[in-house]
Amino acid sequence: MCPTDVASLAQFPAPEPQREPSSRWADERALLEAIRSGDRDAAEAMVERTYPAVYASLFRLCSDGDLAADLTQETYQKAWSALRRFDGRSQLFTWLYRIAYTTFLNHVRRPRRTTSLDEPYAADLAGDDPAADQVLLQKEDSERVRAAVLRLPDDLRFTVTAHFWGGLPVREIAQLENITTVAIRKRLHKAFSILEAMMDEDLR
Amino acid sequence: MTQKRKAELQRKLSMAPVAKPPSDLADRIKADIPEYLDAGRDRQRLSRSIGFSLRVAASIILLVTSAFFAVEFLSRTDEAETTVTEPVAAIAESAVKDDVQQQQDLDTPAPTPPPQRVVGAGGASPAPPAARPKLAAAKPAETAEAPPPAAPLPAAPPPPPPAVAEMREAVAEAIEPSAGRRRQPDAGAAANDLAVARFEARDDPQAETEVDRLKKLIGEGESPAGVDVGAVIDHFAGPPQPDLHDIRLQVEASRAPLAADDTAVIRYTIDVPAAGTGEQLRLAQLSIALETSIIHSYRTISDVRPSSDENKLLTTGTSVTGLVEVRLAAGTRPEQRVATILLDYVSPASGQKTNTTQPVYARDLERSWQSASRRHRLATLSATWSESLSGARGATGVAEAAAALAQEAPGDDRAQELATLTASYRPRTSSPTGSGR
Repeated sequence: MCPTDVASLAQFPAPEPQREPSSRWADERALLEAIRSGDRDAAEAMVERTYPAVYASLFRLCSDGDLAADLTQETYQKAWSALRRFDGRSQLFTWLYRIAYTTFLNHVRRPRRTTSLDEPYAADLAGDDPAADQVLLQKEDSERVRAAVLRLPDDLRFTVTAHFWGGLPVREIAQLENITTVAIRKRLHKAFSILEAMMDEDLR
Repeated sequence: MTQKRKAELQRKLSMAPVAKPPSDLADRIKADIPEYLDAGRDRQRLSRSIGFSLRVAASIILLVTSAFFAVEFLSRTDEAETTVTEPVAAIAESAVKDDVQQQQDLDTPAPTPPPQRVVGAGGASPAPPAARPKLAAAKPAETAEAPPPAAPLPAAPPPPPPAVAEMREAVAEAIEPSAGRRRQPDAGAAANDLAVARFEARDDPQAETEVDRLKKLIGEGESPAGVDVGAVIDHFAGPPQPDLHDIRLQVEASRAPLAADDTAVIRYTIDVPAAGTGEQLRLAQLSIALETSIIHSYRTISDVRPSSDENKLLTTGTSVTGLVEVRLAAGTRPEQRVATILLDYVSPASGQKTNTTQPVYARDLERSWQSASRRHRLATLSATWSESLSGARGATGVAEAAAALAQEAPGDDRAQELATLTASYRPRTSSPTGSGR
């Protein structure tokens, strides 16, 4: 558990210097070529560039720092194996997020090692800090949202988590899901409706 | 859903708490970067794999090549054992050449050669007559006296590779070890559908005597009886050439003389060179393997006489000839092998035991009698005539054919002799006979 880190907020995806999309693509392609040609430094650079965002995405999915770290490590292990099959049509982080999401789902579906989605780290939040109540309330609210998101149907859940927790733009998600951006927006709209109903239900 | 609720929900989703990654997470991930990301090593592995595959392929190619050369070497070794393996047509061609050389009368028209000096290995008897219906012998057709064509013998197309070793094995299996007596061919014992006839070279000192006897009888106006056909054939086939240095097997085939049907005759002659090495006798053994699967019927023309161990010895300076009459089955292809003739002998030139093999193909049997060598024609025509003396065959046209031969080769004593004999005594005409299975 990582209670001290809970209050820290991060931007998703990890903030990057503003660059022209074309130059970023060119940069990624060059990085990939370097990795594929056996450049270990390029691989490490890719890790440095992407792992905070991957970790953040997984943390939002599982609400467990240690587990998120393990899943992040597992995500990269899978990425190395799948690197040859990556065609570069999507952004590198989009591809990594898809792997991370699948890794998380596989973890959740594992019969013996499951993550409790109900009481993630309540025991760690106790304290005498006057702001603790505020923080606790915020945490509880976030946790309710998270629990509701995880109960969404698969396609809606992925769309919501990829967009809000993974920071992927609608266009990237549409490309990843091989559907139109309009369809993605419809998914989001539908997901909001369901989430609203779920959270209202929880409040009762 | 109101815009306010939607915005609030989006805010909650966007403001979801997040933690900083553990400090060692980057190192853990980097530690997992696999070695094989190094494409250089990958390339090395690939080239190692390709190298291994190439080595395996090269080994297989080497193995196959070695096996091929080994088989090739073995088969060549086997062929080398047979000192001569020539198509019959080629033999016939050389026979024609020999005849021309022998011929002293330069006025002789070139096309057909003079009679061959052929010492025939004694024709072994074929299968029992009861089991094989007789062949239609030379038909008494007056039309058979056509002059021999001047065209040279057709060069035999490349025969299929003779399975000499297999044939010899089959013959060896089928032939009983010679105990000094002449054996009848045992078609039933033939292996691989081969009918094997065993012939032992016949030293025939009585050859001249038999023809002289016939001359005497005919001169006295008596009807010859009990004709020794083999002796007559040997006489008219003639002796070997004087310049012959080693034993020679001569095989030739053609249509039967005066035959109006597809009856053919195979002649095999063993020529023994005159003494020069001090030895008088040579060990010789002749075997004929017939492909019965494509033969409708066959008959040995030369008679089979009792023999002893001495029959395996050939007198130097003599020739022995055997004749086999054959009718092929319908549908036989020209390139199919009809017979294989094997001769084992002690070479007077080298003193070594050696052998020679000559195949006979169906196409050889399709050759016209007129285009055969004079030796072949004299041997076969004399056979027809001598068989007719006993009434076994018709003789119509024999005298005319012999006269044509004599006219063709005025300087050939034997052609003249046969023409005189056949003209002086014409046996009564009878219907042709035949033999067969």
